Amino acid sequence: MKCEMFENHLDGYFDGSLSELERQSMEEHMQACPECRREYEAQKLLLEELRHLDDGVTAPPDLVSGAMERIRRERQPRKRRAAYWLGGAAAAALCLTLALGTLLGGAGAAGADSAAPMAAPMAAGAAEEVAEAPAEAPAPNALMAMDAGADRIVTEESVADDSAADGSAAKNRSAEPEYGLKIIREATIRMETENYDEDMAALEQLVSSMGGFITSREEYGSEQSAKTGENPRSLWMQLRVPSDQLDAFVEQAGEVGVVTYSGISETDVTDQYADTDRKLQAYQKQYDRVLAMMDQAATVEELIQIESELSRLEMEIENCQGSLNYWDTRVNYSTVYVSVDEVRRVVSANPTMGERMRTALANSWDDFTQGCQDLVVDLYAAIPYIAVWIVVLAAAGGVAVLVVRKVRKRREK
Amino acid sequence: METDMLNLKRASRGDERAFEALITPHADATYRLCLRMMGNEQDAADMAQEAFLRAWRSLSSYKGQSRFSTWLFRVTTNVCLDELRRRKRGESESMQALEENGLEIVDTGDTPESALDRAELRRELKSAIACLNEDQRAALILRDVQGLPYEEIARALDLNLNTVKSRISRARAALREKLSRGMELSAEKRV
Ligand SMILES: [Zn+2]
Repeated sequence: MKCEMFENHLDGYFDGSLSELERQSMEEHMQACPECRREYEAQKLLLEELRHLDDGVTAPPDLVSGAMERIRRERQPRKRRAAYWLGGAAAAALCLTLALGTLLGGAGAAGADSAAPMAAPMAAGAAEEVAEAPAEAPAPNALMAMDAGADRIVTEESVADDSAADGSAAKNRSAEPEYGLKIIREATIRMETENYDEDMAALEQLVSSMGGFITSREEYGSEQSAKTGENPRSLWMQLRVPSDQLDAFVEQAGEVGVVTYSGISETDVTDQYADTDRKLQAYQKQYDRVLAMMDQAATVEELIQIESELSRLEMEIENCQGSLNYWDTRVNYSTVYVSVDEVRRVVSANPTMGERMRTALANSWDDFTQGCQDLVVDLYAAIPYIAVWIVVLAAAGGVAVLVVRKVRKRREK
Repeated sequence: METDMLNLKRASRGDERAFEALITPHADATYRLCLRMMGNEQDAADMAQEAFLRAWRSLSSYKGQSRFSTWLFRVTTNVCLDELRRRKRGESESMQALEENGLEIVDTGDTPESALDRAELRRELKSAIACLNEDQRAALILRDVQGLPYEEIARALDLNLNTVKSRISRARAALREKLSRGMELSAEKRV
């Protein structure tokens, strides 16, 4: 065996894909050739080290929850409805309790007072969730929406490669209104199509007609295998459209194929944007000041010091501008994630009566099962609320009984 | 496996809880993959999260043609590669030239006499991996760090088997070359 062949077989040796004969001749060669022996030792150690390279490395604890947080944000409308319902109901219970207390007066009021503080924070908690809703529509006027957005931002993922907080700029959490709201909107569309090629062309046409462009594209499966139906094609696309066209795009894309999921998520970066802009202005002022010092520099040493300070500030300024540009493009151009699946099942444009009935039945069955699941989940989530209501209502009932008894006693007298 | 299928079905209908149950067992492996691809913890966490998000968004393209973990690694690898390529485009020519000769940049100037101990060896190895070109790096990590069979890597990277094998082989050779001096000494010491 030659050395070259030995090296070619080295991977096979460790993968166990060599014949017994090949193994033997490699081992023989190793005995005779120190060069190759060394290669072998190196490979052995390398593979051993690689296998254990990340032993004990675990994901940060908030990795999955962070991702889920972002995923849920895409689906907020449904959640909000549940929160709205619960919040409303809790508020109603509170009103009822208070009303009962007031009506019954005297001894009754004392009882209701002790019950109310328990219900109040809960109603407030639920209401808070509901209050986020206005931020969903970028209302330019609403200061309230901005406040809600500011609260949300605390849990927001860092959107850009944060130009590390230098701390020189004063941290002021409230956004300055002059920027307007900086909201990044992203959409997700999943659809199924039967006429893959036509529909993809239509989709691409739609993107360019709206002044958008495709930034990333992955296609799986092939046309050939698609014909047999065994391995239908699917496409994953990431594209950008002007954000004022986003709603129109989502709507019109929905007419291309059969949409199975579509959602729009919003991330408010107004605060970070304002912060960075303030920092940028501070750096620019500082830059001008240092630049002015240049004329007064007496020694070469001073000059060098000033220049290095200037280049540091230049970098900071560039960083800030980079972040602002990044946000601006994100705000002006929405990202849309589109996934398309080729299907053979026909959802015909002009369905027959029978087809429509079947589809309708299938859909309502789906809705029904989904609804049951949702109901169970919502009920489960409502357990704490229900538990407290029971306490509240029991207290109110107890008070009512007491009062009624008292009144009767008085009458008897 | 049964519950995985159920969770998968539910997740592709838009059930986040099912999706969470589906990805949680793979969180560590996904993170480690990102860590080796990106080379630092902050980027690794960002990319792993991004990978989960992309997995969620493109869940409908997973047809059960491979194990879920393989598909997830594929998505993760693509997320990392996209990011690395995006950064590369933004880099200056000179940086790119440096990266092409990457094995030299991280040379810490060890004298041939100094034997590497294990910790040092690992450090060297990590920086050597970071200097491989990203396609070789992806294949090598999936095979030698994650321990995936060649066939699954081929599927994950959408390459044919021979390409995968030759990429891994070339990556190993590059690492061996980088480490052989130090390894020889440390191997002798251990014997
Ligand atoms: Zn030899």
